[in-house]
Amino acid sequence: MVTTDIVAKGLIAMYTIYAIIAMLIIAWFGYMVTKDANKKTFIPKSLFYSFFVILIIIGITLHLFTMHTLPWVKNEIKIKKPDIQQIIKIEVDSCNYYIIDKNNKRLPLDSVKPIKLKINEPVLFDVYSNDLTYGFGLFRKNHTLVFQMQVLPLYHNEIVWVFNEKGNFDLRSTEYAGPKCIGMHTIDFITIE
Amino acid sequence: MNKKNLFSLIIYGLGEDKQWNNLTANQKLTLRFIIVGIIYYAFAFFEGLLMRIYLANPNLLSFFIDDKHYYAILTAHPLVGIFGGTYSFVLGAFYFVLPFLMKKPLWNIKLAFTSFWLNTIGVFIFWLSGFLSHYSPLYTLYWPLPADFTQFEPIGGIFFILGIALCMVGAIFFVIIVFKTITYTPNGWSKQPSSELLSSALGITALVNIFRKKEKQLVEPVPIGVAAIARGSVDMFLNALVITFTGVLILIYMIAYLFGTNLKHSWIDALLYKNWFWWGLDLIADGLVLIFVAGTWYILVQLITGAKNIFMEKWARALLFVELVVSWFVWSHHLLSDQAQPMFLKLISGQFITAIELVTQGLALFITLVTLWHHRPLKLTPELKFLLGGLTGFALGVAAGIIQADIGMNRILHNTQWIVGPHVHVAILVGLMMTLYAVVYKLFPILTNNISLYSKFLINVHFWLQLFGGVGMGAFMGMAGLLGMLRRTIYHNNEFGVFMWLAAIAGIALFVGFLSFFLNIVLSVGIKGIINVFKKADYTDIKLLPENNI
Repeated sequence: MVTTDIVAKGLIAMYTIYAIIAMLIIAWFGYMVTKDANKKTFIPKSLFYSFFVILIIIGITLHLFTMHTLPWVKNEIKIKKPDIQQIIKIEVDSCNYYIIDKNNKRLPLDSVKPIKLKINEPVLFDVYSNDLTYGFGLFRKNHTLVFQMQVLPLYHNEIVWVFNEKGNFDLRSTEYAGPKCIGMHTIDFITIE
Repeated sequence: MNKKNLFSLIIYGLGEDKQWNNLTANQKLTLRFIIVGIIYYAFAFFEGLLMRIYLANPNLLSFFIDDKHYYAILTAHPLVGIFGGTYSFVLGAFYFVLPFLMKKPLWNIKLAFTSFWLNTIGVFIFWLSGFLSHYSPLYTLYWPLPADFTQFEPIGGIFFILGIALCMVGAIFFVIIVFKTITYTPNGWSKQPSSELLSSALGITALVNIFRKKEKQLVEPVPIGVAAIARGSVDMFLNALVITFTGVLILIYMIAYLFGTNLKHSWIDALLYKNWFWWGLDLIADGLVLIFVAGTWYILVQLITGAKNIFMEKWARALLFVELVVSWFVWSHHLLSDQAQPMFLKLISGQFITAIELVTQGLALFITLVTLWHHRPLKLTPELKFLLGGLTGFALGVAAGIIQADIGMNRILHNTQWIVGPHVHVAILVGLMMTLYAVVYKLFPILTNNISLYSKFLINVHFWLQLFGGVGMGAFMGMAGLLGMLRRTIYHNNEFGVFMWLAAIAGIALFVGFLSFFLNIVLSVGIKGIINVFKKADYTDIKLLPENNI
């Protein structure tokens, strides 16, 4: 089961290894380039072309790999959205989030939280801002990020997410919307059962 | 004069009167830019350090910074670093390198001095307006925040925008000077083939030759460094237009408000605006920076090795052209988390075209290393060390950038500390700045008529602290980001305190490294030297260097 947390921690390991190798290669190069070589080694053009091809392959396969392995990407690029039973409508106004209920009534988040949702079933979050550009991010209790999106004003910002882990999740605005909007943070916004 | 005395060094430096009195106007121009660039970098470093400590523990600095003030610093910090520090270094260095490579004087040195004052004063105005009014829409200016007068005073915003506009006018003057210097014919010279020089500088000649049966080359191609300066300048010009236009738009809202009319925010479509602004803004990070940096690597390699041509030079020229074209189509990687952004733009512009930058920058790095390798053994001079540091920074920063420019990865990386750590700060502090420092260390004796730097020890301190401070800070920010820490959020409950303290310690090392560079320059040129640089320049003096400069 691939979660965003596993991917993030995997990236820490992979990137750290890459950074150490890259720095060691340049350090080795810096040492060697000052040495008086007995035999001059010239780099053939073929090495350049090989490196060229390798970079192209890395650039393309990175994206193809994530498109096929990260479960949330499939929901993102699917032209036909899955049949969604769980829809959460949210409005943002003057630095506050509100839930829109079935009667289109605006309710403060604190009055409805935690919203209960089912595991392994898609949820549509439809977030609409009346004024500024905000962010919408869900976080685990240990502060790690589940997912986030930008909330553009006067647009329906929609994301489909399938939760594959149980627990309570906090909501934070992931975008700065001015000094009055600091601290848009709702603890235990949803519960996945 | 006792030069061993610290006080006398600070006053007089290591230079003699004849060295300062012989400075040409062009030397003074470049030195002024570098001195101002160092001062603005000091601003940016200090602001950065304050923010790092504030993020580690907001209570520690609460006696003079609150959250509102923090965001004002966060707004000014990147802009002071880019326009005050980096633009000053880049403009100053290219104003010197361009006539050197073209073997003719700058087209209009007076206009070049004007661009210096515009940039210098512009940065000070927007910094001061942010400092006094706490105008803090951040450099992203997401609509309609810059025109939200329930949060900001419009008068502070007006001066902020005016300051930026002055910098943009200065940048446009620079671009005009670049192209005129490449194409003009100096008085008394035989007529220069202007259109062919321009065509060569922009890469059009090489492009057309691909489709010709027989290669046509009327004149010698311009040096590769000139090609990089010209192509990067195209992006600088487009960027200046977009930023200026956006500034005017915001200004209209501000002035209308001051006259009692509250214009509707909904008249501007937030998505269209975001695409427009990122298209222009990204021409800096993914356009001119990459082109200028690759060109600077090539110039440095030629200066360090004495090579006339670099490895695979035709390819290197073509890559500079590709990078220019690519830079016009990559902006959408900044909107991968905007659900309203069309999917085809995310996939094509945001992911796949952006990935070409891995190829262009990776090959530029490869070409630079191979050219150095072919000329070994080389002396490990400060400029070589800093060049290798710069290459390291881009090897790390570009890779991080390609990872986040992915629809899947962006979902968990966007607006986290990862973006600003391993990508932005490693690319800037290690990649870009170490490349610029290599230029400064190389040009310093040439620009000062052979004054030596005061201390090799301080150069080494600068190198190691810049390298490990920059990489360390980026690494700890990145780790915090991957554990969920956002880039524009202040955490008051010590959620990421350990990582932020480690990043702050690396930031302090970086700051000490910068101070060692600053001290070395001050002890070498002295206050008297700085005063000499700012004495009136003789605009009729068209020489690049005085006769006796080696």
